[in-house]
Amino acid sequence: MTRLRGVVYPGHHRGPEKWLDVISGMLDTALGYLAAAGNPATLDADASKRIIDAEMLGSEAYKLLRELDGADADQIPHQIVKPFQRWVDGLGITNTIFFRADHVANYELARFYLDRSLNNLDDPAPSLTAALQAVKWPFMRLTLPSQALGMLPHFAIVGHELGHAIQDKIQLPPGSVDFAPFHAALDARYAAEGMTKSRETMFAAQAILASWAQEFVSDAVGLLVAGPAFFFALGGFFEIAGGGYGISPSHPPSELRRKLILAKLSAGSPSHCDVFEAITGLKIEEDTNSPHVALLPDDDTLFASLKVKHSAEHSAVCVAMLHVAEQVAHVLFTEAETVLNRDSAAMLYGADRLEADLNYHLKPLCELIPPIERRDGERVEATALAGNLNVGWAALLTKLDEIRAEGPPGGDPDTPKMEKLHELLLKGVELAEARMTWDECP
Amino acid sequence: MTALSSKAIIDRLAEKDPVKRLVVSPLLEPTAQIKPGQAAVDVRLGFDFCLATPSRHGSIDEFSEEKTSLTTLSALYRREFIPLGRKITIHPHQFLLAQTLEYLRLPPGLVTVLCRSPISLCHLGFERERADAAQI
Repeated sequence: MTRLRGVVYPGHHRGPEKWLDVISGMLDTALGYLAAAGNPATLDADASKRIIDAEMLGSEAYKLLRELDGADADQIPHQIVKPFQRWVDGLGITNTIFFRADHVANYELARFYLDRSLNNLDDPAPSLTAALQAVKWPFMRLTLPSQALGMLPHFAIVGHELGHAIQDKIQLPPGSVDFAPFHAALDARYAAEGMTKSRETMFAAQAILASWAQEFVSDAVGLLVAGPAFFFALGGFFEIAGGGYGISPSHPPSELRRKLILAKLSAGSPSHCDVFEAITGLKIEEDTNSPHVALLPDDDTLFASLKVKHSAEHSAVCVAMLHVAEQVAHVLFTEAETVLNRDSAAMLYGADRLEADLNYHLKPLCELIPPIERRDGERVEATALAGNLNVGWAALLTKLDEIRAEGPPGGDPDTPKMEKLHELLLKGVELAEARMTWDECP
Repeated sequence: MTALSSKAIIDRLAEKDPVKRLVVSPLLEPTAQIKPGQAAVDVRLGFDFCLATPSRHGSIDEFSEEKTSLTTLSALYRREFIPLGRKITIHPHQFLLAQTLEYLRLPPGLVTVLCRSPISLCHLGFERERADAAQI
């Protein structure tokens, strides 16, 4: 614990320290139990119970320490943590949170409800009580790939994970979707396969619909806060993650998600896509940055493919759900936009902001000037994280040749350019954050 | 070679063409950092610090054919990230390198700026003449 307390966590974020405070409180409580057990006045039966409780608490504390793995500064760039925290705050997420990296291409938001069990302990140590009170529960942990696995622009997916933190605020209004096509498709599948619908089938359908809805909501939030950067990052993630069509009882298919996000980016006049194409010359297509995502086959082939990994019942529901998924997603995307407009309007990354950021920063970035701030006469505005990510993607996809960086002879010429771009964007994030912090000082 | 006046520096900072632009960013207090008649930009301490640590390594030969490896450098220095508003303590006889807060990029046609202090390379054990001040 002493060593872990001495670790500098990325950006000096308080989240890991609060996590350690809870663990320290558990250990102090366990030590208190052991001291009580060693007291000659304690009955043997009580002493045994105290020792067992102390052992369980110690074991649980050890498990919780492992949850912190990857939260140190070696894996997550210092510079990115505070901007992420701004996203957390901007979306109205008040839970205590920490960030950690994993050595796999994985993004995940985990929730820990430790207060429910720890608040019921007998004789908690004062340090445990204080630690529990200092946390806004559930404690959240956002996992992202370690810096060895991704350039800065890929972190736009964090917007999706934070969407999971607010997904309960964005619901499917009753009666907003006509589920008749789903039922018809499911009935036909059951008839064709000689299966019998049961109550469990409908429970499974509810669960799958809820999971898919959460993914659509989170995609919508990612899109609203990060614009095209989210589209490119998600497509890139689908490519790295593999996983066939991406469809499962927990996730809608990758091809559909990509299509729905692009449709939203193409809406409006000018749309994000219009702006991006006008400035960079690149027309955003469904497979831009994700040419290898598997396209969905016909229902029968998909059903057979799903059955390899999932039950026939779940497979049938997933395939049938595709018949209403676009309707569901459309309603949820609209709801998400309404909620964010109401609660977090400053977080929305519209086409106008994209245009301003690309116009101001893209060409300078090719001249090794990071996107730090935008000057308009006397007015200076720090570049938001979303702006940095979008300028980064625009450079990565359309201007990489213009980035001046050379690697060793015979090496891949793009690698040093990508490294330089990552370095410039990270510097941009760091110094834009400094500008914001300075501007916020009274 | 002439030094740029403060007005000329301000003009170069506002240059529309990014190729020709002088970049010192972010300038948090432009009027305090570029004073009339100063012909210089005052910069601030940034977030990244390198603290020299005792080691068995001798001097580094700048002209050696063997490049100084990152391992050697990491043995010579411990890096510290200090966020804006936090403090770092410099103990007696301790030496540290610090980045500027500002990102600096000089366009073609301008030459470098160095503050009047022994440069960092001297502290790595270089045996060469100390570099003194330079001007734009």
